[in-house]
Amino acid sequence: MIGDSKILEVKGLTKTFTRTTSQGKKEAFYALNNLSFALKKGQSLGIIGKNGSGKSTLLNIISNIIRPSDGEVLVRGKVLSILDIGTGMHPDLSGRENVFLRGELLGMSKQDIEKVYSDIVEFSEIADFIDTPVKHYSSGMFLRLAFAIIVHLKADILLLDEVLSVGDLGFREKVKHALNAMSSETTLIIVSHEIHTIREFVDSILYLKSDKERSYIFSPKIDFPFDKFTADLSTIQSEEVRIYAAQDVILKNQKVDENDKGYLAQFTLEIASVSKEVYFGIQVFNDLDIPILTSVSQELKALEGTYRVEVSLEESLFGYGQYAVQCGLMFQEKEGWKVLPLSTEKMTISYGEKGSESYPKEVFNGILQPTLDWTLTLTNPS
Amino acid sequence: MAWVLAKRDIKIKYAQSLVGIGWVVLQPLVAVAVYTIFFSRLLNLDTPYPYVLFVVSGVIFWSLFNYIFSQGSNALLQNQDLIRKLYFPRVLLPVSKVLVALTEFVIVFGLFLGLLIYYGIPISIKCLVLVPVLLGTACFGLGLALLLSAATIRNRDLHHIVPFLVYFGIWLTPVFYPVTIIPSTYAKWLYVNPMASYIQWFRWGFFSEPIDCFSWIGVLLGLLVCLAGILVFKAQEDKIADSV
Repeated sequence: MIGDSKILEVKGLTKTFTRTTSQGKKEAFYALNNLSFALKKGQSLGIIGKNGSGKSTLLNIISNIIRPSDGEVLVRGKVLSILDIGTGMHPDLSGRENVFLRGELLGMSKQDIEKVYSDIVEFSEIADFIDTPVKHYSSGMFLRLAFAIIVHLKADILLLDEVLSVGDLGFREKVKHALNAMSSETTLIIVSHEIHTIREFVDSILYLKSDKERSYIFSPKIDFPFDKFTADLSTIQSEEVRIYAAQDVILKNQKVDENDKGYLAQFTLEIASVSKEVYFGIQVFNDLDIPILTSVSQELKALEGTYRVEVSLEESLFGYGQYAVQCGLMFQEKEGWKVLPLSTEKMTISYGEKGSESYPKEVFNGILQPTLDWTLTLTNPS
Repeated sequence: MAWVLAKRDIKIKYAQSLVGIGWVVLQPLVAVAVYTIFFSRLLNLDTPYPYVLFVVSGVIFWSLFNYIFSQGSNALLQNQDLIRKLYFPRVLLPVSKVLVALTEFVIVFGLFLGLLIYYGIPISIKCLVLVPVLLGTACFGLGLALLLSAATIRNRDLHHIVPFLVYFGIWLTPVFYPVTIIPSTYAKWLYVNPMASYIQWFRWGFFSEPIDCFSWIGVLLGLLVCLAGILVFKAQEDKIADSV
């Protein structure tokens, strides 16, 4: 029963702010609009969205820093929010003093901090400088100390706002490790621009869209591909490029004959008029959301009518796993390149499907696993 | 939490400073020296007991009030980063300044006691008035600070009023001049100023100066300001993080 209970419940959360328009009028706008989701104990959440999509507003409301305009947040347990790495730490105070100051500001008792103090110092790797004022620290040292404090906090819910992308690689790994260890007892809520920086810590995703209606997607599991590419047609068109309708990408597993063992990406465009050069493109993302393949067509001119666009992908290129395949139309504007993306299709490369591989692709985990030409030449004939 | 903030203030203030805690004593000492030279020597202001004691008793309470009022009303602006990134009852920011001020007061008050002994002034049971006077000063200072904080949330430039109030306030308070130099018809109006009342009650307790019953007005007004400050601030508290 306890293991199943909700630790965080957000119901109909709405927050409006007033902004001043260029005419000097004040108008209300929504940062969050009727947002609802719930987290069970042991679940951890990643919040993603573009700048201005309301991520920080949501964190601020959950941390009780600002009040919602409507709706409510129910929390069962102690919430700690790290909205900034070193808030409250002071350059003139020593590392030691700052550890206690920061810990106490975050609601830990002095006794609790004393218990983990040596762990914090050890984790931060700056034991020799712990009695030096932090203004003499390098920025890296400061971050180490600040992170060391964070990962030794005890809370039921820990909120982290885009703080994971700092520090050198080695230390980042250490922080990741520590956070993973924490996630067994603590519900982590991590905000990020992109899913791939946080996907290893979280098992559910809240995607806040920056559209006018402030719509969102809450997914209790990370289901890939996430629809970050689905775009509003009307925002992308211009005078020279007008498209009536576009159909989503269809990905066909071509099994027509033995030699043609690829995937065929196919989409249909009904083009009103295109008076400049356009290009078709395809991009494949791996499960960390990293684009691993991009291919662009030759330039096309003066299109009008309904077109079916097809491009085939050779399956043998890819390693075992899931991929997102995205097709789109690109053209150049004064401000730069515009991309009209179509919704994303999922592609799964699994071992044994084709039966042509002589080795299990899941064991050898290269991102690309193409079939290359290997030559074997005996150089010292006996 | 208020203590954590107060400790932070104190530590930051004296971290890496040469004279350290000595600044606490030095500041009122300089004020006392200036007042003594100007008003006692040059203007021949006379008090029934050593003028130095008179001035010190005024200065320590005026400094206490000044610190709580000036720092307290600035506490929200000064700690914007904390307000935006951490949750805690916002009222603790000005309250922590009261704790800092009281801590420093203890040190300065030691100096006052030293002078009492030096001049051989006997202490009676009446000196217990120190406790309510201290509380009254702190409450009045905090009340004003809260009122001003609440106002500065909406209009930031209101903060510039603080130095004016402190500057003029000291002239309306018998810190360095005795009440006796004011014609008695006006003197009673002086007590509408809560700080005048508190300081005179303190002098009544330690030096048996006569006290006017008008001083109750000041005492009461001080407490009312405190109450008003708390209520107004509470009503504004939710909006603070939105507007800093």
